[in-house]
Amino acid sequence: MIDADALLAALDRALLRARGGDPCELSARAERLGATRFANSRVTQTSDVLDVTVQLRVAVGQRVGAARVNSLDPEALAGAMIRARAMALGQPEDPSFLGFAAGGAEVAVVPDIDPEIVAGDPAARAARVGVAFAETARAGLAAAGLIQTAEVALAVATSEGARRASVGTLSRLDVIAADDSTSAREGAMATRLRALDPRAISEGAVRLAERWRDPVELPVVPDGTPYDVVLGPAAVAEALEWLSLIGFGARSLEDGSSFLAGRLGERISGPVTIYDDAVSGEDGCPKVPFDAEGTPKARLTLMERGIARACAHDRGTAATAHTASTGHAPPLGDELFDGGAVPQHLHLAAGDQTWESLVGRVERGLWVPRFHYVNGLLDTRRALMTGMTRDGLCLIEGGKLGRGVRNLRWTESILEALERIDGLTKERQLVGGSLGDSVYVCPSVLIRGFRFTGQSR
Amino acid sequence: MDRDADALLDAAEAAVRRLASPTSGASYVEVRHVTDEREQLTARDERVERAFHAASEGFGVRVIVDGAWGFAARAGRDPAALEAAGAEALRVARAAASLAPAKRVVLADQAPERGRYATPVARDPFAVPVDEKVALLATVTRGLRARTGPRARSATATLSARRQKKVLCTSQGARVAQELTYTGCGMKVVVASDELVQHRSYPMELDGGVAAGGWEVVERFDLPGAVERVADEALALLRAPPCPAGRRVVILDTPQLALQIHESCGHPTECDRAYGEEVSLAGASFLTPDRLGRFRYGSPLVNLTADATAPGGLGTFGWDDEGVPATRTPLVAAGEFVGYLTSRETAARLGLLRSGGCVRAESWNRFPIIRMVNVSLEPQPGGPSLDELVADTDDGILLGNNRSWSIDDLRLNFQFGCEIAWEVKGGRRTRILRNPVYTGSTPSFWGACDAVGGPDAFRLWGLTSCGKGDPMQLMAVGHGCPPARFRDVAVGSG
Repeated sequence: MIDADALLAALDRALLRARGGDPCELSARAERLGATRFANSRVTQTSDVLDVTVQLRVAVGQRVGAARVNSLDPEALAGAMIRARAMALGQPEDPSFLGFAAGGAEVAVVPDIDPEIVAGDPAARAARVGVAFAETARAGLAAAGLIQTAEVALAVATSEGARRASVGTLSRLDVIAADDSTSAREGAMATRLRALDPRAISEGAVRLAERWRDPVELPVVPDGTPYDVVLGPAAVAEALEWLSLIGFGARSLEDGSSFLAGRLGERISGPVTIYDDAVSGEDGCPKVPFDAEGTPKARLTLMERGIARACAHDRGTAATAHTASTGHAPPLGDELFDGGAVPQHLHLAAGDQTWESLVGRVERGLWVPRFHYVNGLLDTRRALMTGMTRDGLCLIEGGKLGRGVRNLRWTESILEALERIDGLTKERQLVGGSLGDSVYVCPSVLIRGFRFTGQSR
Repeated sequence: MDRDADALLDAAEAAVRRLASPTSGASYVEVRHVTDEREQLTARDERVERAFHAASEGFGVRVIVDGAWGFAARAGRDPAALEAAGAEALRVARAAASLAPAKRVVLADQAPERGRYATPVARDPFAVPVDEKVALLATVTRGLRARTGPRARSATATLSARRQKKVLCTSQGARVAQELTYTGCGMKVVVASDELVQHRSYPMELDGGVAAGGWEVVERFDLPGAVERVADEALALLRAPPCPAGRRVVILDTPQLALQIHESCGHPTECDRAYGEEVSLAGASFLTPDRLGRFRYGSPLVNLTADATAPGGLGTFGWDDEGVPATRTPLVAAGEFVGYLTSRETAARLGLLRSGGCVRAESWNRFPIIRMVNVSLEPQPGGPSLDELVADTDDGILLGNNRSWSIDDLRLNFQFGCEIAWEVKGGRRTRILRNPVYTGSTPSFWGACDAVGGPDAFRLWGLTSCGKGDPMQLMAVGHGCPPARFRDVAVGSG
């Protein structure tokens, strides 16, 4: 088991050793990650990884340097402190640096841990994979997918008195049921392993795979053919992730590339509300009570019924913008993205519909359970994105789910698409993202006239 | 590296012997230790925004028990970390073996390799003083802002260095040590006029220009020397019309062609994808094994090769993470699909005698999987330069650096956006066009390739963030190419 208090104690010892020196901030992340991947009803990769990352930032006057090590050993931390200081000394003064997070009220943290995940038993993962194998085999299909468990502890301590620690668990199961002529996916994510029902997930994948068999081809023209769509939570989540990357972070407002830049307070989209919330635990969203700088997190409304309200800040961008950090310093170890503060716990506010009622209101359209390889860099001011569908695209005809459709490319301004939103489900689902620890809480949504521009041939 | 590597090799070899004992049940054992060191400095408008040094090390142990893989990793370099990783690897393999025991892992033969490899480095990038690096970044960002004036919204520049020291021992006798060094740099300026925001980068956006080598890589790219051109092109984009829609002749300059190769040749020739083993995340491949040797991928001018021996490549090494020596494998020969990027496991499944040596893990803490090495489009002997290619084109579009990328889960339907396009009329570059995008389907696109540049126009590019696997692994890969021309491509404006 990873001990968050021990993690914080190691940071405290390093701070004590550095006492009297330059101001500093220590941020740590310890993680045990268990994963079992499978394909063609065979385990292809299975792993158990235990690691810790400590980042030290040192301020020499107004110059800040950072160093990371994957050790809690006092000598290693002392060495990193020297390296961070060397990085700082080579820089010019940065007048916008306002120091590290100060003490104050402790962040009250209720440990949110699942003993089964903490036990880290690979047999627990294998048993669930075995269910997926059996359920898909019963339908004459093979299973592919992943089951993953993570136990993560975070701690931050600064020479200015901030001390934070938390620990949490998360698990995920994805099952793809497939043979030579069909493929469909179902998945779930939860802070408790027992909340993942491998039988129900596998049955869902099998049902959709049977429907998708021998998909038809729909006509589209390169300029765009509109279809009414019901987007599933996973598809919505991928669009939200790109909104976050291109527009909800302060840096993109600074350089004017964000769709929010110069428009705060204005109506920029349809009547939807998007907020970041890593503290409430709505719909099973994991709790991360503070960021890597030790700033406590709180719910942040980014877009309220289509009106641009705010963007995410870390301490650096907040200083430039003469405001306060919103607690969105990027988590440690997120090497994929160097975009600074971006929200990673986005929620799309729920509606009042059921999935069946959304589908029932579509005369001729598409059920899109999932997107693939979305890219939101086409025109960030309009949030113009492109992407593909995958894993079970189906026709909706006369308000009923119909047969499978070959995957399509779409190219669409998400802000404009949200103008044409015509319903959201009351039920929301927790979906994992590709950015750091990102997770999204999303309903299914009905959008009229979503623009498709190509086919997978 | 020698004494440190020797000690780690000895520890790894001893662990392999222990773990491969008859009582463990392991039929194969592989122990890696990796020390991973990175440095990055990023300046934004002369202010240093990010300056860090990162070090990480640990043991990764992979075993086969009862025909099933198991992998575990523990941080550090002490014997307890190695012991724990080994014990856990056996435990996870036994759990996996309890499922579908009939489908056992079989590995292609590999003679035991012993030796050392190091990237040639003229000047150690980690030894260059921080203030020298900061001065370069400040010069570049100051120059970009000054040249773009009031239209400038931001100017950024970055320097990066990475060094991986790896040792590997296997129960089949491999004992190898490597030291790989990558260095890179890049810059970008964002400009705006009213609602229009444009940017231009050099040498590439995101990764910049990264290559195997030392500080000489940064000197070769000469960021200050490109400031005026990059700034002027950014401003020109604010005045440029959108790229008109239609079917056009397209010339891809090497930075964009490198990404086209990555997405539409590199990924679909990964043999694990072809067998459906990456379907849960990245997807599968239209290049299925039944098509090997009997599928026309491109025109007869198209020759694509996986080469882990190319000097300066991010996919260049002595041995892959299974101890297979670096080699060169044709993937597409005269337009025919002829080869895959393989592991020992997929090579055995294909009936090959040897693996193509394409297995790498991001670091000590990830399961080794098939990754691109340097996947490159071979130049045509006597082929044209970029200027000659333009001169030979009556009506077309020349496309510069990549801005957006998207491709389907079989690697067929793609859409790329670029930072800049030049219209080509009568063999000359004419006006600049903004927001160009082009789209197509992989075999028909490569089938319409009617000109490939010559050896003098060949450039080897590096991408450091190729994402694959779950948990995600980011890998450094290389792509070489000369510019090339394609007929009848759907283009438009994003």
